[in-house]
Formats: sequence, C-alpha cells, structure tokens
Amino acid sequence: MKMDISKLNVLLADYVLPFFGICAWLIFGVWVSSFLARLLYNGLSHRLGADKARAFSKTFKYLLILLFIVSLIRGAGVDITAILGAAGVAGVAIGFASQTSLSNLISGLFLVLERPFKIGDRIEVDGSDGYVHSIELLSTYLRTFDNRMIRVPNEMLAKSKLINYTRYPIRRLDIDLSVSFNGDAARVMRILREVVVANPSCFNEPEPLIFFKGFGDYSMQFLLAVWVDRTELMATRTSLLKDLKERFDRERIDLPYQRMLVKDDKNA
Amino acid sequence: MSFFVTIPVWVRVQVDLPNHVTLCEFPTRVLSKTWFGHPSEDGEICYALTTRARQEQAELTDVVGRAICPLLLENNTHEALAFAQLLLSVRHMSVYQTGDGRLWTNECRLGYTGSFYPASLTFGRTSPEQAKDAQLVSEPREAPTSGLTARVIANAIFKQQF
Repeated sequence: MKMDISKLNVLLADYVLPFFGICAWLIFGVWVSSFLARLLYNGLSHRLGADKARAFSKTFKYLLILLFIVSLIRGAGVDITAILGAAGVAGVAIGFASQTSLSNLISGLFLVLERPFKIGDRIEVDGSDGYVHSIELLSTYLRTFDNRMIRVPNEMLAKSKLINYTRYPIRRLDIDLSVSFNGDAARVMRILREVVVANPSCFNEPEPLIFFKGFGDYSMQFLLAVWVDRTELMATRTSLLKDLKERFDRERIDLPYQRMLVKDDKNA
Repeated sequence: MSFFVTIPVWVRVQVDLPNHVTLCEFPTRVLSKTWFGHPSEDGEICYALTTRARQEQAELTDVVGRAICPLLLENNTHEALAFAQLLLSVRHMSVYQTGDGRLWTNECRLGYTGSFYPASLTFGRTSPEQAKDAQLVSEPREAPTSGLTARVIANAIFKQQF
C-alpha cells in the first residue's frame, strides 16, 4: 500500500503538531505557574505566615494557569467574547450548583485575613478538637491528639463558635477541691498557697487565686487557680495534684467521698 | 538610679574539643516562673526574682552562687517613674569573676522613655566599673545589639479578681 505523503503531511500539520504544541504549552504553563507560586510562597511566608502565604500563592497559581489557557484559546483563533458570553449563562448555572464551594472559598479567604487561628494552633470547633494542620481554600484540616485527620469546611469555621486554646502563651489552671467538713478552712487555704508557692511551674504573677467557694452536700468547696505556661499545662496539673494529695495526706486532711447509709427495715 | 541585683547563675558542663560541646546545663537555684505583662497581650515568661535593690556594694549579702548585676535605671522623661517589675534580659549578660571569687555581670542600663514606649536597653561591653579587673567567664547567650528596646518596665502588676 502506497502511503500518501501529502495526506500524512496534512495530518501532521493540522492535528498532530498542534496537539503536541497545546500539550507542551499547557505543561509549560503549569510548570511556570507552580514555580512562580512557590517563589511567592517562600517570599510571603516569613512576612504573612504559612497559611496566608499558601492561600495567596495558590490563588496566584490558578490565575496564571487560567491566563495560559486563555492565551491558548486566543492563539487557536477562537473568539474569547463568544465564550465569555456563553460563560455568563454557564456561570449562573455553575454558581447555583457550587454555592457551597464558593461559600467555603470565601469563608476561607476571610479566615486567612481575620486569622482567628494559625497553623499549629489547637482549636475546638463543633465538637472537633485538634491541631491545625493546614488551611486550604475550601477547608481546614485538623490533626487530633490520636493522629486522626478531620476535614472541617471553612464555611463551618466561619459561622461556628471556635475556641483557640493556644492563642496566648499562658493559661490559667483551675482546680476544684473538696475537703471534708471537719477541716479548718483557713488552714486548708494556707496549705494550698504553700503547695502552689513550692511548685516552680506555677507562676508568681499573675498571682494564684484561692477561693473558698462554699458548702457542698458533703464537703467544703475550694477553687485553686494558678497561671502556667500553656505548654506545661498538663504536666503542671499532674504535679500540682500529686503535691496536694501528698500534703493533704501528711496533714490528715480528708478528701471526702459520697457515702450512702443503707438501713434494714426488718427490725423497724 | 543605680542599684545591684544578684542573679542565680547556671552551671554549664562542656568539653573542649576543637569545638566547644556543651554536655548539660543546670541552675544553681530553681526559680519559680512568672509572667511579665498582661496575660492577653505581648509579654514574656520569666523567672521570678525579688530584690532589695541595694545601692551599696557592701550591703550585698546573698552573693554565693549568684552574679552581681549593676543596674542603672534612667528616667528620660519629666514624669515620675514608678515601677513594680523590671524585666532583665539575662541572655544578653556576660559573666565575669574577680580575684575574690565573686561573679559579676556587665552593666545593664534601662532608659525609661514614657509609659507608652518601650525602654532602651544597653549592656556594657566589658566588666563593670565595680569589678574592673574581673576576668571573663562566659559570653552572653545572645550578643546584645545597639539600639535594643523592649517593654521591660512595668508600673503595675496585673491583678485578676477572678
């Protein structure tokens, strides 16, 4: 079979080469966009923080890719205005279909600008508690203490009550204590103060607070509030409770527990 | 106003290989931690130290295991300076030792420029005037730069009622 060289040339010129050209241009466009986005991220992350820098660099990258696609379409001789006109109608349809995604996207931008938290913070939102792993365009990822990953839509973060446990470097540790009625309240408060003063992890300032809260059903109620380095919160709580128990045992101060008296009615 | 503050020192164990290798460090006295500033604003976690602010060197009694820091507090305003806490940046202090075994730090100068502005911090580059012949024992952990400013003078201590 004789191959028609002229038909092959036409095939190559009209279809194959343009196809490879488009692919090459797209690959080049994606590569350049990624490279420039990475440069932008490196430049902005020190000034604005990792989360803001990531949001800006990703937006920049997708805009660049869009520009490459538009230039490709124009280069192919397609009328952009006709496409934009059609896109106007398609835009309305897509908008209705993707309003949740758009809401997440806009909420994400507001979160990045407002900064109620940053990467590495521990937050609690809608019952989910964990460390912020990353802030993406549509959602934020939390890593839980037991190493699970929770994906929280940005819209939920924007409209829910959010607790940031690591916003400030110090935290107040509140410990409720109950002491039996046969104890001396003034003596108990003196002992609490001595235990706190002897623990170097409890801050001198702000001053520890010791309150006699009142009388419970079975005991006298006290509140011990000390300020600590938030990175040492649990360790200080443990050491403080241990010190308190040892001191109470030494001073023979009872920590009461609920007792139930059972009466046999047979002999009534 | 100038006075002396005695600061407990840390002991560093190191080996002198071609490069100094620090094996461990430990305090000669465990100080309680404290917070300088408002809990929800910029501040710093510090070690708490009380001082009688002796103005005469002869009045210093508690010097064993401590470095004597000559502190100069300058009021560069026309208003009265009342302070409750001072924050000493010990990381910028060198340690010197005199022939009698006493430890000294370089002089620390705090310049008060008003309650709304940070104070200026200046550290002496040699042993203090009170210990001119002292030998350098250790360099500061962080070399002080010129033009240092920081919130180091607190005119009141934060009190939270509940």
